[in-house]
Amino acid sequence: MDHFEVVGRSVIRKESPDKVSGRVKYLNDLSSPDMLHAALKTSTHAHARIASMDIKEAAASPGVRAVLTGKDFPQYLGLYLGDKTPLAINKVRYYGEPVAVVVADTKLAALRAAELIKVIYEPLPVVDSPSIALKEGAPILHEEMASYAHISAIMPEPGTNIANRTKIRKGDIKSGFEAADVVVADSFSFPPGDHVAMEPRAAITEILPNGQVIIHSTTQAPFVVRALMAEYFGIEPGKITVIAPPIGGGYGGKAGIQLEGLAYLLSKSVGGRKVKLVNTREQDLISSPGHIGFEAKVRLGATKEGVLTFAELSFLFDTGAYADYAVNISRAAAIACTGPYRIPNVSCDSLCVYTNHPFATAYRGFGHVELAFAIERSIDLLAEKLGMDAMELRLKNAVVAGDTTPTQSVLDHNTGNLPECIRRVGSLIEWDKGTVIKKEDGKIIAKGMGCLWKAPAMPTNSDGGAILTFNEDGSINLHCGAVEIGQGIKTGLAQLLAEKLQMSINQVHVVYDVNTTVAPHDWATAASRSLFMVGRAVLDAADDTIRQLCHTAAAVLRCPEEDLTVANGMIFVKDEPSISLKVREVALGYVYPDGTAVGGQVIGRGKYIARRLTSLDPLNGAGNPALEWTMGAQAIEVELDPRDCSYKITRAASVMDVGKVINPHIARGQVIGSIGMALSFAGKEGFLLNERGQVQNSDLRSYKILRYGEQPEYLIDFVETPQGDGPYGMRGLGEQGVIGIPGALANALSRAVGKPLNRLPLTPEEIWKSKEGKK
Amino acid sequence: MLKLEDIKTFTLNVNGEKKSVILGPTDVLLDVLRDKLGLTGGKPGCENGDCGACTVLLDGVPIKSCLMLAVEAVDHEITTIEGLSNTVVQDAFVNEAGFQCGYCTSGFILNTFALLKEQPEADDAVITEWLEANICRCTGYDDIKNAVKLAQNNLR
Amino acid sequence: MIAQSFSYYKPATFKEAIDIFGQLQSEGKKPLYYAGGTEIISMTRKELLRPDALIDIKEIAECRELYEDGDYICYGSALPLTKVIEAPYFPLLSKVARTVADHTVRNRLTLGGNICGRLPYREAVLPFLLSDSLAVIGSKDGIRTESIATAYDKRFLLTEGDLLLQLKVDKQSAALPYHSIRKERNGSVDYPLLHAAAMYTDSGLKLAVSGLCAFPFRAELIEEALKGSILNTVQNKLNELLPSSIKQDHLASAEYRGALFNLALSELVSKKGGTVNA
Ligand SMILES: Cc1cc2nc3c(=O)[nH]c(=O)nc-3n(C[C@H](O)[C@H](O)[C@H](O)COP(=O)(O)OP(=O)(O)OC[C@H]3O[C@@H](n4cnc5c(N)ncnc54)[C@H](O)[C@@H]3O)c2cc1C
Ligand code: FES
Ligand code: FES
Repeated sequence: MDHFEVVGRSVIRKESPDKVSGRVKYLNDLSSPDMLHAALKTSTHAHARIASMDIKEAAASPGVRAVLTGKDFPQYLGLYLGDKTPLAINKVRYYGEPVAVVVADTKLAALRAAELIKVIYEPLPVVDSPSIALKEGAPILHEEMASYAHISAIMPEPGTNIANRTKIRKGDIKSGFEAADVVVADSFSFPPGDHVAMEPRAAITEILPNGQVIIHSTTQAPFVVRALMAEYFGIEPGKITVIAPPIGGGYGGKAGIQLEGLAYLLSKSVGGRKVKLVNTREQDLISSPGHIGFEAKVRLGATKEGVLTFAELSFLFDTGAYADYAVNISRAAAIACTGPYRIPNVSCDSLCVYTNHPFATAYRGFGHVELAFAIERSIDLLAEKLGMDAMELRLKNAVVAGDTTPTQSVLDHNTGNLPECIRRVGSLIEWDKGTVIKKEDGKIIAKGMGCLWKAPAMPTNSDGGAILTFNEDGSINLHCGAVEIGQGIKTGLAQLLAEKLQMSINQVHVVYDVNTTVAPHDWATAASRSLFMVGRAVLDAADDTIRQLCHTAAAVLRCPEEDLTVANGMIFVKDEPSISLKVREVALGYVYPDGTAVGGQVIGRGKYIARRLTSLDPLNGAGNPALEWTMGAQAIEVELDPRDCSYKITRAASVMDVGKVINPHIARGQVIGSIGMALSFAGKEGFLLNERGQVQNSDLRSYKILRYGEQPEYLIDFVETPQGDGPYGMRGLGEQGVIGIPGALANALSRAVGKPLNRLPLTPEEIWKSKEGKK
Repeated sequence: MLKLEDIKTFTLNVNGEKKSVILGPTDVLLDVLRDKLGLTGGKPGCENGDCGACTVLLDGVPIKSCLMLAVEAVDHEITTIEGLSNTVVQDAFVNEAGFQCGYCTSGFILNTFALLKEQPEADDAVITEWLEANICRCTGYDDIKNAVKLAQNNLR
Repeated sequence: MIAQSFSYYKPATFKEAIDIFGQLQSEGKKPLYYAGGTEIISMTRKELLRPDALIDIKEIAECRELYEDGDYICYGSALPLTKVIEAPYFPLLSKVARTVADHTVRNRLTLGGNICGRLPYREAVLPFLLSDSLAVIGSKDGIRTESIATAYDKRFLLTEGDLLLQLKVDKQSAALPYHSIRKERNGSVDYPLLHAAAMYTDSGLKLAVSGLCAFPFRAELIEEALKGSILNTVQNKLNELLPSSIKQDHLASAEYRGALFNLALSELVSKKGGTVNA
């Protein structure tokens, strides 16, 4: 099966005409005259007791239907750990936390009334970093932690600020340390930030008189929303319909559950009427969850030949005021804690820690950007100390099939070829031509490298499904639960289907909105697993379709079913193709010339559930949590002006082993988009917090992200070592491109100035301070 | 002197059509286009002038519709993305996949459209000067750049 | 969406504008002249500004003029920066104005709005501070013309209700050699950490600076000092020569801004016609 008609081709995205004409309806584009509108009132303090709240004037404001405060909604909600009420009660734990909400006839009336709510705060001491949160005597942010419900995979520690701790103990650190000739130890950190999806989060909810709850949401995870809404509010799942239109960028920030719970409560408080709740940009940046902050300590040892002997790691994840996805991010980081290196002795404590920062949720890379930054910097520091080339050190220790991961599971023969990725990225960035070059004008060109690996971090029973129905012309409608977030999933799935059925991609119609009452179950559009898992379901559905088509055709053609096959819109005898029927003659039931109909319509059903995944041993982290590992290597070239340390990113190279590239243009776009996002994150982003924990850059004027013209030249390549169980051999690639970049950028800039740069974002001032030896 | 103290009916010229619409003095153009005229192609990405998702053309010139009062648009010609159809620029964005999630796309397309009309021979520096007004979080800008180049070539 | 209420007036003449301003004021209201609106709309949306009325000045003929005649080049205050930039008369102004906001915003944002705005940057004023320029101001007593030297001190000294109609620049000074340097935190579409602009005359370098302190200023003390002493000495006693302390905020430390300024000084001095030894 080497010859692909559709797979491996840069098929144009299915949604293209709608997206270039402004006709795609994103959630906030939906409106109707009967809709009520909500506006949030948010906290101006990072940690404070709510001394009083006066809503009288707001409630009396024209057009107002309801003004609600924390006390109206005492339920604790949370994705994995129920630590958050929809609106703050008694105290606020971060700057921007919603404290009240107005529902009114128009958005204007709601905004006007929200302005009239008066809140008096009594400030409390602010916990402004995870290391401070762990100090003796630090204020405990969640005194009620012991009473919070949580899933068994996470372990909160009541009486502390620790929401989860994951321990990895592999081999023996002591003997690893003794075997080391060279040891490096350093700390790494960055502040929390945001995804900045261009579309702010939104939800529209209504409750019909028959009890049906209809939720439109900008969600990557409509089925998670359904399940959690049922659980939190005791609604029958069958009475909940979650509809996810295409969304304007997610990057993890729209996974889990976001505004839906609050929107439901709002609708409930106005008799079930339709209520629309849309974040402003400022609220989306700070009130809704963002990118996690991080502090790490790494000790890494190697023999003088450069063979890694141990890694001792402490990761503190700054989840901010609430845990959300972060308790699983710290866990995912532990699972992959060493980066893709063969290290026999590993100890890692990965903690998810509460602070008074805006809270964190999933972000592209899910814990791996974080660990990779610490590890890739450490590898470079080690190379320097060893006097060894940093690329050579990586090549020497890169994992290969047969090695074990930090959770002690063995990398099987499906493991990608990391050494090949490193070699290719080295040649793309011309590593051998020098990694530091001084130019005549005084500027310095420098290069840095970073490796990556990532497995989906997901429940062991994650699944996907597909349903295929036919139209009169033999074309197919593909229904599934995967949400289009810009990653091109619908097009990729259509390609898999067209390939399998040997049909034209134009004959595959995809359904954009996901409706949980209609679509087959799907865990979530997250963890870069949709093309893999839903793809498997689509192939399964295609097989089912072929079986049904052949079954009916066999009777009509009077030949054995197993002799038939389907291609090019025909069902025919493999060795005698002239004996055939058109797919469209059979798809909705075959009709004999005399009018007799047989077979009935073909409905293809397909499913997939993750294979042989297990939980982790709480004592040493042993287990098999990984569906597949995507590996790769990335490199950055910068040109730095040593006087003020401003710099330009000139080239970015990336080579990942993705098993099989299904759509080269889309795959390349995913990797480039990831790199752009990671460069932005590492060079510019992060909340600027004052000593009172207030975010100083809560709009896009001051929260800076990469702009047109700042992008480097991108050099992208793929290695294709097939993933045995992946559709046509593919592996996930939606997130991985971010992972190695911050480390690679920091390595390049550190090399350029000859000083270790271990903190992000790498603004010229940050670099200048290190270079000049200032704090 | 034009006075607008409460609300009044005005005619807006949008995409070549005259539209009668009731405006108040505080109505922002973006909101009027979306909420009163149903032209949702322009997006609120920041409502602060920073992202360009709300870009429309005013007499052919790109402007950020979140930073303009609707009443200021009276007597001018407004073009939204809905007013462009099958243009060379749109085709180029399709062929080069100059978008992913698509939320920024109408802004980029309108800006590019105006640029190539005004300066068909715009070089990289000029293209950057114009397009750095728009933020795209998905694409890393490479495919957008390719789309602009393709459109420029095809217009020659 | 703007949640507050205000009324909107679009006078056809400056006289009408001044009158309606005065009238609204006498009714106890707080009117604001409205030009590009880029600041007023963002600030009213965020409830940082609460005007009762906006008086749009974009129809006023004087505010839209752009011409050269005799000794002067005249810029109407309500011209969008794009128009100002495209005009061929004053290269330093084109260069400096090009760095404000972004191209699309500059299609609306006006020269007068930038100079009279609330932000501490007001970069478009720098070229005017460096040249022999005049401010044409409309007030209830009619039109008056003032030299920039008297009309500007840290900000435009307008009495409430005064309207900046035009800025005029002496052609000869507009044609002087110039250089300017702008530095941002990390990325060009941002406020400046430092924007230093210089013009070179026979008697020395003229310097105006934005971003460094809480307001844009003409750095006369530094200009003088550069005439008398070597650059290094000047750089070492910046504190004495600046009109206020160097700004320290979330975008940058005072230390880094100071370092950027010293680097800029070296570059500006070395660039052209500097009368001192770098
Ligand atoms: C995305 C973005 C980026 C920006 N980046 C920069 C930057 O890098 N550097 C920088 O300097 N600024 C920057 N700004 C801020 C910008 O300077 C102000 O928004 C702008 O200068 C205001 O001009 P306007 O014409 O829109 O004024 P308006 O918003 O109309 O008015 C601003 C103020 O000036 C007063 N005013 C206007 N015209 C006159 C007049 N003729 N006489 C008397 N008073 C008058 C108004 O009453 C009001 O108080 C940026 C703005 C945006 C939206
Ligand atoms: S919404 Fe207008 S610029 Fe962002
Ligand atoms: S395509 Fe998603 S923001 Fe540009």
